[in-house]
Amino acid sequence: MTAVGDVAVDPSVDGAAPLVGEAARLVEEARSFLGRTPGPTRVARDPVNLPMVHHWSQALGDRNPAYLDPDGSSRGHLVAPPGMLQTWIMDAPRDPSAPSPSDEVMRRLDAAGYTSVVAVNYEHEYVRELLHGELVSVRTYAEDLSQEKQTALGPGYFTTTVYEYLVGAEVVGIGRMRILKFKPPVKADVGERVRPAVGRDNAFFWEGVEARQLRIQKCGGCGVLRHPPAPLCARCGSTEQGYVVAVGRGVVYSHVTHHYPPLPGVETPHTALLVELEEGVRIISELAADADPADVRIGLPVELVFQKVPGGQLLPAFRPVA
Amino acid sequence: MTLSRKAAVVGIGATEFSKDSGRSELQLAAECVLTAVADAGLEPSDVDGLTTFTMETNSEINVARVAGLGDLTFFSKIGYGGGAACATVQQAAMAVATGVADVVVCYRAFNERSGHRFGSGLSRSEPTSEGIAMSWVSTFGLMTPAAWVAMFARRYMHEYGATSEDFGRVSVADRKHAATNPKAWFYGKPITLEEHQASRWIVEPLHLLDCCQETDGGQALVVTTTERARDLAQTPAVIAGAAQGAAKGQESMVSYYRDDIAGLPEMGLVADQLWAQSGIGPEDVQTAVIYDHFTPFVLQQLEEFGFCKRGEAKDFIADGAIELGGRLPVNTHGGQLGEAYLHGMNGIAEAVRQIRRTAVNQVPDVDNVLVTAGTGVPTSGLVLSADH
Repeated sequence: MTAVGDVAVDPSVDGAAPLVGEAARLVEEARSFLGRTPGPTRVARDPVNLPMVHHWSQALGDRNPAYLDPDGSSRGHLVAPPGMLQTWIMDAPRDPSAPSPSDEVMRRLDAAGYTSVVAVNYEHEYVRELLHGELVSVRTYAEDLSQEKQTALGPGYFTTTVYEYLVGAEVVGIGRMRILKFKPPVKADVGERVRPAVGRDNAFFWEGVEARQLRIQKCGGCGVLRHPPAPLCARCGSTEQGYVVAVGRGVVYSHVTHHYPPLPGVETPHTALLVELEEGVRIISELAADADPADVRIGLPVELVFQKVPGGQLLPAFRPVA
Repeated sequence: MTLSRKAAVVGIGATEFSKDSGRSELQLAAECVLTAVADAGLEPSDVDGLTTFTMETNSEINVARVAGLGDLTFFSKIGYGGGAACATVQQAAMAVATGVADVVVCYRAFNERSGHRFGSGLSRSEPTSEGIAMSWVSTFGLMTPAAWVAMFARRYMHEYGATSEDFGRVSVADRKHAATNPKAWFYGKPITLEEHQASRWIVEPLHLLDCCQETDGGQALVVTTTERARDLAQTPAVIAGAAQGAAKGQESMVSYYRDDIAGLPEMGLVADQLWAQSGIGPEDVQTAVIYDHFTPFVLQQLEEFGFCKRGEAKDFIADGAIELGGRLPVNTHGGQLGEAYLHGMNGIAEAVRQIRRTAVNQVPDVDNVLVTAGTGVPTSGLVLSADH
C-alpha cells in the first residue's frame, strides 16, 4: 500500500476505487487487530443440557440416540450434537468495555461506511464431543481482512473471525465465520413529492388521509357520490356536502408506468393507477411501493393501503388483493 | 356585416358582496353563473359558452363541471385585468351573432379581500381551483403530459385491442413526411416501426417515438374577409368551419372520471360543428392535419371525425392510409413529431399550403383540409377550403 497525498492507492486491487482519507485510515487501523491473539473469554449462561438438545433434534429432525437416549447410546452416555457448538454460547454475556479484536475490525468497517453484513461461509472443526453438564466458553480473533472487492451487493471487505470454543482451558472446537462487510447501495435522493393543493373544497379528503381514511364526497342534497370533490353538486345544485369512507376495494381501470424524465419525489419506474372504487367513483392513485408493477393489469382487484412517499407525505395507494 | 343589435343580455346574477365570503372562489363562480342562468329563465344545460378574464382563477371547464353546464362550443379568456370586463360581453355577442354558441355566460369571481389581495403583494393563502384540479394527479406522481395521455392510451388499447405498433404507425407516417420536408427538424430522417418499438420507455405504454419533439420557433397567420382575400397576394384558404369544444366532464388533460375514457368527446363536439358549418363530411377531405403531440390520440381523432368507426382506427391506418398516396394523408409536413412542435399552429400553416397547392408534399386536387388542435384539453378545429 502506498499513499499519494491523502489518497491511499493499492495497485493489487482490480477495479476498486482507491479509498480516500478517513475510510482508508480506518481500514488500515482495522488491519492492526488481525492476528492470533484472542479477545476476552465469554462464558455460556447454561451448561450443555438435554432440553436444548431436544429442541435442536426436533427442529433438525435428527433423532440420533447418542443425543437423546441414554440406553440406546453406544457410548453409555449422552453427547451433544456437534452442530450445536455455537448454540451453547449464543447470548453469552458480553462486556462492552472489552471488545474482541474482531469487534474492533467490525467497528472500523462500520465507521468507514461498510455497514451491511452478509455471511459467506461458516466452518466448524470439532476437537471432541461435548458432555452434558460441561460449561462452554468462547474467545475470538480476527484472522484476515481482504482488500476492497467490488461485489454485486456493493464494494466491501471479506473478513474471517475465528471462534475458539473451550471447556475450561481445553479447546473443544473451532469455528471460522467468513463474512462480507459492504456498503449498501445508496438510493438516489429523488427529493420531495409535490404536496397536495388543499383548499376548503377538498380539505375533508386530506384530513381523511391523515386519519387513514379514503373519503368520497357525498352530496347533501341528492346523495350522489363524487370524486374529485366540488363545492356544488352538478346534478342538484346543492352546496351541502358530506362524505362516505371508502371500503378500500376496487379494480384497476387504467395504469401507466413512468420512466422519464426524473420527477421530484418519484422513484422510477413509478406506476400510477386509475382505480374504480367499489363505491363507483374513480380516483387517481399509485401502486404500493411493495407491489410489483409487472402484476398490474386492467381489471386487477386492488385494495387500499396508506404509505409515505419521499418527503414524508402520507398518501393512499393500492396493491393487488392478496 | 355588423355586430350591432345582434345579441342581448338576458340574465344577471351575483353572490352577496362581503369581505370574507367563507367559500371557495370556484363556489362563488358557480353560484353567480347559476343565479344569472336562473334569472334568464334558462337551465344550466342551456349554456354552451363561457367568457371570463385571463386573471380568473376558475377556468371555464371547472365552472362548467361544477355548475352542471352542458357541452361548451365557445369559451374565451381576455387579458389585461379589469380591461376585459366589457370584452367578455363583446366576445359573447360575436359568438351568439354567428351561431358559434347559443347561450354564453360572462363571469368573474374571486375572494379578493379574504384571499389574494391585489394590493398586498403577498401570495395567496388558498390554492386556486386550477391548482387543486391538477393536484389530484400530480400528488400521485402523474405529472407529465406523456403520463396523462398514457393513462388514456392504456385504456384505449384495452377496449379496442390497439397495440403500441398501431401508435408507431402514426410516428412512422409523420417521419416519412418530415423526411422530404426541408423545413422539418427530422428532414432526411425517416424511422421504421422497429425503431419505434426499440425506442426507450417514457411512460408505459408510450415509447420515446410516441412523443413529439420540443421546438423553438414562431408561427403566425393572417385572417381577413373572404371578399378582401380575393384581392390579396395569395390564394385564399377559406375558413369553411371553425369550432371549439369542451365536453361534459371536461378536465385539462385528465378527464379520467367520465363513463368512457377511450374516446375524445370534446373532439367529437368539434367534429359535429365543423361538418355542420362547412356542409362537408369526412369523405370530402383530401388531407388532414391531426394534432400529434402523442401518437395515441391521432387514432381517437380519426374515429371522432368519422373517418372510421370507433375502435377501428388501427385498421384504418394499417396499410399506409395516412401516408402520402394513401386514402387520407395526415400531417404532410411531418406533424409535430416530425416538423416542429408549435402547439399546432404550424399545422394550420401546412393546411393553408395544401389549399394553395404549394406544399412540399402536395396532395393532388386538394379542396378541403381538416385541422385539429390539442387533445385531452378543451380543443378546437378548422376546415380550410379552396375558394370555389
